[in-house]
This record gives sequence, C-alpha cells and structure tokens, in this order.
Amino acid sequence: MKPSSILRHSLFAAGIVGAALAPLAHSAPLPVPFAEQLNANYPAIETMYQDLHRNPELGFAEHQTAAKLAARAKSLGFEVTTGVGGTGVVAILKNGPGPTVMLRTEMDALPVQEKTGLPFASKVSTKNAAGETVSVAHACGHDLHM
Amino acid sequence: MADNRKAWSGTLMLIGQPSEETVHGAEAMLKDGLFTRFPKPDYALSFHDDATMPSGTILYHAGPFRASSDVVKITVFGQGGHGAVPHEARDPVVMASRIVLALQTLVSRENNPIDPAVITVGSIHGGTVANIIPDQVVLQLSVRTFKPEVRKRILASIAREAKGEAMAAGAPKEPLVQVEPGTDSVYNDPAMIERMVKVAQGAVGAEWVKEMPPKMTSEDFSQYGLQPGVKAILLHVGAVDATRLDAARKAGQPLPGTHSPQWAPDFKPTVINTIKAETAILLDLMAPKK
Repeated sequence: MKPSSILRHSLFAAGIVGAALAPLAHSAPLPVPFAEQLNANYPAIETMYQDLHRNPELGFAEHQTAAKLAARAKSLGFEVTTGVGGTGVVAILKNGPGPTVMLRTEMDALPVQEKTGLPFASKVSTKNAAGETVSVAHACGHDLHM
Repeated sequence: MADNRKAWSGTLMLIGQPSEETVHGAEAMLKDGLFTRFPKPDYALSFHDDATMPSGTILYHAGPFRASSDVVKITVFGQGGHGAVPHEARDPVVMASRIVLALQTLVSRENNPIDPAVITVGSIHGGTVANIIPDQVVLQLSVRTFKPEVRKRILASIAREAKGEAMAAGAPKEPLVQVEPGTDSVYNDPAMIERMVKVAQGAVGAEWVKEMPPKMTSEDFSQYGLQPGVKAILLHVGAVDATRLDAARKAGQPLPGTHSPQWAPDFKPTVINTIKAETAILLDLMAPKK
C-alpha cells in the first residue's frame, strides 16, 4: 500500500482495510489490520481537521474547504467534480457491480466568534451575504464530519 | 475504501455539501443535477456530531428524527402617531403583541399534542422612541414540525391568526405574511436503522451504539431521502468527553452545545469511532457478491 494513499478523514478517508479482507458478516468486528492502519494514519487525519478548523468558511463560500476535499479525494483515485450547487464537491469511485452509496458531509461554518481557547481556534472574520463583517467558526462540527 | 477495492463492490459517492446551516445547500446540489449528472445513490448516509453523549457513541433513531423548518415573516401594519393620543393612531405594537400570544395557541390548543410542533418568534422589531406609535412592527418566526400535514396546517393557521388579530384591532390593512420554506423533516427508515445498528455494534462494540430521542432541530439531509429510490439515514455521534459530561450533569451545569462559541468536539475518540462505524456500514452495504 502506498504510504501516500492513507486514511484521511471520516468522510474523505473512508476505510483502509487489509488487502486480504473477506467480506464482513453482520455484527463482525473490523479486522485488526484496519484498526492498526487507522491508528497509524491518525496524525494526518488530525492535521487535516485542525487545518479545516482554522479556516472556516460560510455557506456557499466554502471555496478553500471544497478545494481541500477535492484534492484529497482526487489523490485517492476518486473522480472529482467541484462547483456542484455552488461550491459542492462530488467524488465518485466506481468499483464493480453493486449499489451506489452516498456519504455526505457539510462544509460550511457559522457566523460565530470562536471562544474555545484551542490552539487551532478560528480567528477568521469575513463579510457575510448581507455585506456585514462577522466572525466565522466551525461551531457545528462540520469540520469533524469532513 | 480506495485502498481495498477487493473488499467491496459498488459505487462510492462522497459529497461535500455547501450551506447546510441555511438548509438550502442540499437543494442547490440537487437542482444542479446531483442525481442526474452523477449516479443516483441507493443509500445515503451522514453523521452529525452530538453534544449530549460521550465521545464516539454512535447514536440512532428510527422513524421521524429531525424537524422540518420554515421561516415566516409577518409585517403588522398600523397607523403611526403621537404616543400621547393613541386614539388618533392604530397601534401595531399592541397588535403584534396579541399576534405573538395568539400564535402560542396554535401549539397549545389547535395541535394534537402527540404531533411535535414548535413556533418561535425569534425577532420582533418596531418603533424608535418612547413617544411615537410606529407604522409597523415586523415579526420573524421559526416553525418546526415532523409531519407534512401539521406543517401545512400550522403555516395556514399562522396567517389566519395574524390577519384575525389585526382585523380585531381595526388595522388599516391586513398584515403581510411571507413564508420562506426551509427544509423537510428527516425520517430514518426503521429497517435500515436496524441493519446499520447491527453493523455498527460489530465495528465499535454494542456498548458504543445507543438509541437517541428525536430532535426538533433541522437538517437538509432530508432532501436526499425525498428523492425516489434513495434510502437515506442520518446518524449522530457523541462528541463530549465522558468525564466532563458526567461532572456537568452532577453539577447541573449545561455544557456548551453545537452552535455555541465554546463548542469543541472531543476529536480523537469521536472521529475514530465514526470512521469505524461508517466504514463497516459501507462495507456491509457494498459487500461483494459471492
């Protein structure tokens, strides 16, 4: 497995599973290699989260956020389209016959001033749709979903 | 998933959706051909962080889960004048106040108590100084329901009450009632929930998968499930450190929730269990055919 194609994030990371994995039965635990790889790739996941958290964007203005998600998905081999419904990103991986499953994350942040005291807290402020200057933060956890 | 294509078969579609907070992002993507330019999914899944449960708890609810959302703006028209001679004016402040109280009866008296409904007057503005009766007062309402027929009835009743109160007060003209539709309620198919719960229990342990009550907050994720043939499921995942949660409960002090300036999800355990659960669910939904 290429070191670069690592588990990213909840949504855009998806699962890393050992190459010899058999199909899962209902209620079976995920195989050990998966858990190990998840732990190994965690630092990269956390880095991405903190970056998204530091750079929140308001609804329909998620240009950088969308670009980051698009880049990650593309590097994993997904067919990526940006600009859907404004700033939306669609990443598709066709892998043989079977159902199509959509996993969705939100990308937008809120016009809220962050008061968490975290080292990677947002210090962003921007103009909203009405032209007013507002602070922006991921106060709803959409960055965690991403 | 990308690294192990042998373990699953199907099409995986990841979407980054804009503007969920205005409940119009899903609609925008759908209008822009999300299910026509791209494959229409058989299943749609999303997770949301939750401020009420310990980090990494996968939370589910079958059936109606999140409420529909609409905004109603009511402009109450009076006739302005001097504060000292009210009989020479028609006071919209009192009219608007009567409307606010009348709206409460739509929930307390007109609605079946078994059907959840919320009407909140989030904003009321009118007038400038103490001694002037203004010309108008503007109210902004948020309306939340689970059932489409309740939603329809309440929106119609809001207009009726507003017009009725204004007429009773002798208003010079009818109030302007403007509805800005938001989004529909989220309904989680019980059979899908049952299946995903089993799978999640396998991935993270049964003690980490819990049922949660429905909430009157809204999610435009509902739009995907309304498209014919799409089975959409919304799950939550607890994101608060268990010791903190416990201490707060004992002290009776609420912790900051989502949308608060202090909201900070307990990242590592939350994201690890989310990844485990959702990967297991994806692998189950797209298990290779034998």
